[in-house]
Amino acid sequence: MLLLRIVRRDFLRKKSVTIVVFTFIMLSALLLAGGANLVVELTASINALFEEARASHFVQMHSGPVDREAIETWARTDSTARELVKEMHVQEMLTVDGSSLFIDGGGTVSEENSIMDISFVVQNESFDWLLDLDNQVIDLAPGEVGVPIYYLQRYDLELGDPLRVGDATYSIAAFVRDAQMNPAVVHSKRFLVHPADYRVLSERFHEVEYLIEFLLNDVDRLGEFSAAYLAADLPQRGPTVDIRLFRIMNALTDGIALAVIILLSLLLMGIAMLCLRFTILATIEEDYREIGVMKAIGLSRRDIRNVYLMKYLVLGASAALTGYLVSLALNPILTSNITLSFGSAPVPGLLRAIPLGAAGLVFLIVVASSAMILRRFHRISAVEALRSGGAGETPRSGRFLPLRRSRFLDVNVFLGLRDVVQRVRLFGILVLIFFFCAFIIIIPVHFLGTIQSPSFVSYLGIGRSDMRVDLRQSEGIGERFPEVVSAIKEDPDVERFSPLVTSRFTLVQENGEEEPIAIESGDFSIFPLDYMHGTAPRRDDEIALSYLYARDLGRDPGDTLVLLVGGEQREMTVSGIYQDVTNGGRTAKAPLPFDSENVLWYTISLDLVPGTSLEAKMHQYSQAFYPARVTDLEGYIAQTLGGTIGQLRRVTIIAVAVGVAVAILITALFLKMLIARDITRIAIMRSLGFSLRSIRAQYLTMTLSLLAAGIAAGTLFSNTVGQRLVSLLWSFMGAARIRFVIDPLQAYLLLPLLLVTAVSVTTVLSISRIRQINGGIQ
Amino acid sequence: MNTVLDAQKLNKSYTLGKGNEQPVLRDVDMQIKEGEFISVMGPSGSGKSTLLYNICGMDRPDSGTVLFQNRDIAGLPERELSRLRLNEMGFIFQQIHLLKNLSIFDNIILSGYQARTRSRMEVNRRAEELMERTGITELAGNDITQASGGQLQRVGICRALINEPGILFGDEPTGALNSSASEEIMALLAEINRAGTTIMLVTHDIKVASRTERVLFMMDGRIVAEKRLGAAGAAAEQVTATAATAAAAKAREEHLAAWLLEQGF
Ligand SMILES: Nc1ncnc2c1ncn2[C@@H]1O[C@H](COP(=O)(O)OP(=O)(O)O)[C@@H](O)[C@H]1O
Ligand SMILES: [Mg+2]
Repeated sequence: MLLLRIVRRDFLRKKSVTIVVFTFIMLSALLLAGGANLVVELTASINALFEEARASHFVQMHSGPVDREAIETWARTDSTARELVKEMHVQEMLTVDGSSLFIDGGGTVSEENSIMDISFVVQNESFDWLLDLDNQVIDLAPGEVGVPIYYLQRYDLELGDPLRVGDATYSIAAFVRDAQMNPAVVHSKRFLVHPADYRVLSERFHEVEYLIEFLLNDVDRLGEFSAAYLAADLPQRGPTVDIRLFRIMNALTDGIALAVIILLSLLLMGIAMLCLRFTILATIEEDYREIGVMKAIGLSRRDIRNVYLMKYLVLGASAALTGYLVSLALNPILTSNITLSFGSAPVPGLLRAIPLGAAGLVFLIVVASSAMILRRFHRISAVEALRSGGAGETPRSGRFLPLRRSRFLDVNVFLGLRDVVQRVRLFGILVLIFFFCAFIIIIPVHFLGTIQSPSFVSYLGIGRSDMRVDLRQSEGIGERFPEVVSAIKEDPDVERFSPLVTSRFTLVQENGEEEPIAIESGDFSIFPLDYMHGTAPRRDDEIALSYLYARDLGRDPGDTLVLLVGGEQREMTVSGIYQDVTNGGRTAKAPLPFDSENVLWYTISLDLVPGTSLEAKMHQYSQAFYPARVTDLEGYIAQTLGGTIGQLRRVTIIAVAVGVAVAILITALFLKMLIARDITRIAIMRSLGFSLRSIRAQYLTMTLSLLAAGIAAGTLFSNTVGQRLVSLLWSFMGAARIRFVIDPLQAYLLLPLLLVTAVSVTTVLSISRIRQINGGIQ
Repeated sequence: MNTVLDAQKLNKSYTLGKGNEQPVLRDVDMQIKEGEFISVMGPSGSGKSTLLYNICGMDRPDSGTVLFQNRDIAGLPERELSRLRLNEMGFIFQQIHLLKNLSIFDNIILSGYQARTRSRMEVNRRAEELMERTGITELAGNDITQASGGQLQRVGICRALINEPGILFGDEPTGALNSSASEEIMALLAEINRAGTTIMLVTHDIKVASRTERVLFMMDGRIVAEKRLGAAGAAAEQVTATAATAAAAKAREEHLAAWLLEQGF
């Protein structure tokens, strides 16, 4: 068939161009399909985990005595509870202090500096099960322990490894998937033991905490239930959490990587489109005469267009399909974290088609944009084509930027630059692609740098300090806290410190409904926070809200809200809004008097006198201030966001590789085309005595100046729009105004150098292919 | 007189497809003396251009030596060869081969700037001089599309001479010109030769060859005969002088034609 023959001939004639365009389409299909798969798997496996574990819908944490009877009675008698509660139980958790827990292969490193609240529990009976890596309910024998997967990732543990608690040693028999506490951003971890071991442990450790857990008949009425519970006189000394929060927390770690992957695939798609546009236009230019002839012999425009469209149909389909198939092979790598955290759930057949659909979308976009670009055929008149024999670039005037006016620039550099300026339209595409490359590389690198920098704490809702001492609600903590504070006050190594107490208040909404609100109080001026809007609360009728909280409540600085303080209603004015991704993004700060009954946790931030060893001090404090958790800021971030950082690092490496690969491919492609076009020109210059090196200098000048423009634009764009894009992404988690922490050496030297090197080497290699001197002359 | 260029036993063949070697130069020997005005004649496809490209370092012979100013250029690295062409040799072609995106003046000074042996001011001055000598001063700022074929070949000559090369090579420099333009160019070349530049032309045009001092006749990759016609300058100058001397030039041309016929042209 004629059509196919033309398509085949075209493929063969422009092998390298075809391969490059194919690669880009394939890559964008690969990433988009991979990203789609990630979304599907993430949702499916979180759902599956929640289902298999029968995750609680509503959980009240409580430290202090619990009257189970009272709760059960309430659940049976209260009108809302009676209607909503399907099942309930109270789980006892034995708190084990980090310094007596040795997980690292049972070895020598204790969890003394861990930010995690470590508890030992026995398996629940009917819901909120702790599952193993096969999502089976774990059933342990005496002497065995189930370890949260958070530690599996941290320490590379294996089943059978020993774990030491005090002087008792257990064998790790399972890794625990915990629907509630899986993610690193949740600072509580449950270890599972046999009831017999639990009894032994509870002789040694005396501190317990309770999870009062409910399964509801209708999850949508969670708010109603929560209000009813809090209104009742039931245990509530501790945070209240629910399944919605579990979901958000679980999706956080992978969500960020996911967003970057999708962004990457969209950018690649953009590059593929540009390449497509460029190659189609080049083809039309080359085949101008042929097209004219076809028209002259009476082929309709539609026929001719279809000939060309056919090519891109074949190209797009095969590239998108290949991308999809390769994504199947790559998926296990991308989803490894998901698989570990949630298990690989069977994805329902229909959803399985989504990644394929994503690849299909890439195909459709390719075909649609080809069709659009090919509309140019209409503008080719047969007569004109035959007469001129070429679509021809706009004639380039020799009078423009005369060489004789150049005083100092090397001739070859001058010629290279002149060429760039003269052929802006052609080279504009290249600049745009380099711009994309820079963008692809810079955004994840900046993002990673930002999240790893100590200043990232300002998005965790805490001020910058050397060290944090955390005490959470437990028996006798009300007395322990002042002791710790006065010990720190006495310590000459401490430069400044700030005790902060988070306690529960009640928020009264306009419609009279009450809901609990955790408010941190203290002196906020010692370790000040960056405020997005407004300032820190100074008077006792001022309150600062986290970004997401303010959005939920619909409050701006200057607005008011009503709190119950000491049983009385108090109107508070919102003084400022800050960013916080902890606690589901919903926190508040106000200098309010707290009563020890309602305290959730205590925190002391402190700075050491310069020259004091942070490590030694941390060790000293965690011994002295038992059961407080002592962490340095970097440790706090690393332990909270470690998984996210790891995932992001993986994505960043991919992004840098993709960016450099695209730059190389595009440079090679462009030079191939350029050299083919300039072959006579090159031959003339070489015959006049321009060495290969001079010619190389000209093309290096071209590609490098284009690259420089691309990098400059890419950097500028990343630092402005890119920053906003990343902020938008994070705003779902509580940080709406991320400011990139940029490592100037990396951003303005190393990364550009990487691209410059890649492009230079590609240019030099491409140029060295022109050996023949007189080829174009004879 | 010194020998500027001495080629010995040059062989060159092109591979056409697999195993199909086609010899284009076969054991070619030739010498060019300083100040000579020499032409290589022969039917199309006899290897004239190939010979030219191999003795000027644009291409490398398969075997044989080329001594240029007593230096063997066969073994020179690419950069040295380029520098030699840039500084010591000038080239003019049938398709004038100017750079399309440079103005006429810029085309002329390009090699001058690249050579860096003179200041750019000096190069500009020399270009202006050359253009005046070849009568194209008014074209300086023009694009190359705004000049006739004869004018463009003058531009080509100016460009070739910008670095004051010792030798000028031409491959059918008048091949694309009408006869009067062709005569003018030959007169110009004769004048340049008289001013001291050695010139070697490759042509299949008897008229052109008859204006040179010595004609080598090439066939099937070999130089098969040689004819000395004597001082060319005088004859060439006479072309433009009077009808009587035009007749003399005609006689010289016929003389060459007769000889070529003998050789089997
Ligand atoms: N690059 C090349 N590749 C293959 N064959 C060539 C090449 N250049 C020239 N030839 C062949 O060499 C022979 C001589 O060519 P050329 O030197 O251009 O002849 P002339 O200039 O005398 O017309 C011709 O048969 C030509 O086809
Ligand atoms: Mg020839």
